[in-house]
Amino acid sequence: MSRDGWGLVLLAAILAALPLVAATAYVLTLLNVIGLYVIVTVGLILLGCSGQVSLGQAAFYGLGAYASALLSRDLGWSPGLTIPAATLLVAAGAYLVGLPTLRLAEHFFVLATLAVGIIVNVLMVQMVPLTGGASGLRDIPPLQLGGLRFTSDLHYYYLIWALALLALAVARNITSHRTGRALRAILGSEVGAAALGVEVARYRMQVFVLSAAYAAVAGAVYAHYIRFISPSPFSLYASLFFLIMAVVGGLTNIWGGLFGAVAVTLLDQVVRAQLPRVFPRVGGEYQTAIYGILLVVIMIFFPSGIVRGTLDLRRALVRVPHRIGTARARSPDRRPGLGDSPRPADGGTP
Amino acid sequence: MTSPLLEVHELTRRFGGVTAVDRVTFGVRPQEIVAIIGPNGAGKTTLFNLITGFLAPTSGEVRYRGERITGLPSEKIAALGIVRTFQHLVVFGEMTVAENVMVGCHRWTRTGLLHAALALPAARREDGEVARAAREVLALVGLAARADDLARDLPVGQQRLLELARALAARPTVLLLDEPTAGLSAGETRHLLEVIRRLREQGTTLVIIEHNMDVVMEGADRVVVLDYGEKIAEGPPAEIQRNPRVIAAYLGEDTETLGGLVPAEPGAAP
Repeated sequence: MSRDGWGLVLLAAILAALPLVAATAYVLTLLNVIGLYVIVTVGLILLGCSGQVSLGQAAFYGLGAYASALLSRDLGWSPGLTIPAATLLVAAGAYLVGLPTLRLAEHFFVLATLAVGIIVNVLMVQMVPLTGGASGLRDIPPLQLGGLRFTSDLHYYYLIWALALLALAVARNITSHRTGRALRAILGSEVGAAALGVEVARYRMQVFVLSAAYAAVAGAVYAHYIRFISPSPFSLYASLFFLIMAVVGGLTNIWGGLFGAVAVTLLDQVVRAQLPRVFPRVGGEYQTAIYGILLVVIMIFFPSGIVRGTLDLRRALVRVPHRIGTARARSPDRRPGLGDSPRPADGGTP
Repeated sequence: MTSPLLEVHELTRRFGGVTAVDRVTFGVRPQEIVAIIGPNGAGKTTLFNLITGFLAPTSGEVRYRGERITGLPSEKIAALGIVRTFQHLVVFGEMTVAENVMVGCHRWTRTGLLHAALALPAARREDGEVARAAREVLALVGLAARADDLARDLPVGQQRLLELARALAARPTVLLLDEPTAGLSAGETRHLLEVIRRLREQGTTLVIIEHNMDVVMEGADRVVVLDYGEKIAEGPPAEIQRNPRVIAAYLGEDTETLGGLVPAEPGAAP
């Protein structure tokens, strides 16, 4: 088995044992939320593997939640069925969103996903007859599989983390086979990938739809776990939060999804608890500011994620004398851009 | 005479007022090695970009096996078997040398997202095949020792060899090489010539943009000369070397290129 494979086994063992030592309601809830975020973040990182960034992931997360909630609550379908159904619906929706937006150059694609996120959130608030508006949907049925009714935090803990492990395993498989190589080649250079026959548009679409499906699964499970949903956890702020997790983990590293979701969720707990003590008379907007600054700092100083960035930095510090000549070539994760297109005329000096 | 595998017909590309490629017509027969030469800015790379679909021509067309391929997306053209390298290096820097070459195998492999997601036996079998092919190609170009290094860590000459290896891994029918010897040592250049000859024996057709006249004289069956976007000469290397229009085109150029062209045939200068 590969190193990643053993990593997954080890993680599964730790997760299976964790509730035995730390089964307070607070810890379990926190772990469940982290597990859901891991799923969304790994989806974002798959997207990042092909050089794409989404600022609308909370929309897919929310759509998964609303779709599964409505199908089960209003149509009476079993949540065991509505979770996959909602996922497929959202994937189909993402495909439709991708048709026009994936033609855009990367910066405009990010803006398009931002717009999609905002539109979807507005619709959740405004389509009151369907979504219940700002007050949300209550009495969402819990998940039931065969004779097993998922009612406690612990039930959902095992379900969510089984899904999170599956999400990690699938993502790891994808990145290590032909499709993953094609995605990473697209990140390296769309032109270079196309010259080797890699269908750039098709792969970008596939991974975009897949990342939306990841978010949708997490959202659907969330709906049946919390049993109440409203538009606020699916806002632009949540999209930003997911993106920060992916960026902290390293936009192209699958394991970074795990690290990013854990680190940022724990940080958020600290910030929520401590911020009112430091600034007693302010609301949530200071939190947003902190995450905005965090995102900028990481993008500038750790573009390949905190873990790898720190390792690179240490390597660079230890081996400075050898590195001076190649420092420019080593600038991490150069993204494809305008400089990548074939030059219009050769030589450039007619 | 066999019919051409690749035909360029009246191909023209204008950028604003500049005509980078001007009604260029020529054909490439199966298993031929054709060199494209010309001073800097003559339109050689633009010609490659037009053939491989990275640029749309203003007029004219490209035919492959008698079928028009103009207007197809570049990935389709690559899938048909016309694979190119780039003058300015385009390696996937964050991937290892071996992985770069494995991307080259994309053209003749088939497994998709689902195969990969579930790590189905087909995907694993294919991966084994691809890894083997990558090792062979890396050994061929002399990069086997660096297989596990990140591509960005290679010096420029080796990155060029890597681009060649990646293109070879695609098992192309027509291989377009854009200045493959730039940045290579004399020994590496020699080796490259051998690789090119071996490829031809195995059935590959090659079109090479090359500045090194020794390589052109030794390696090419036929030479097409461009100047200011126009084809000014076409023929066997020895003939091209004596062509007064070609010499005139290079006379205005730097003496280094001229030096490669003239001393090989001292009596040819007018």
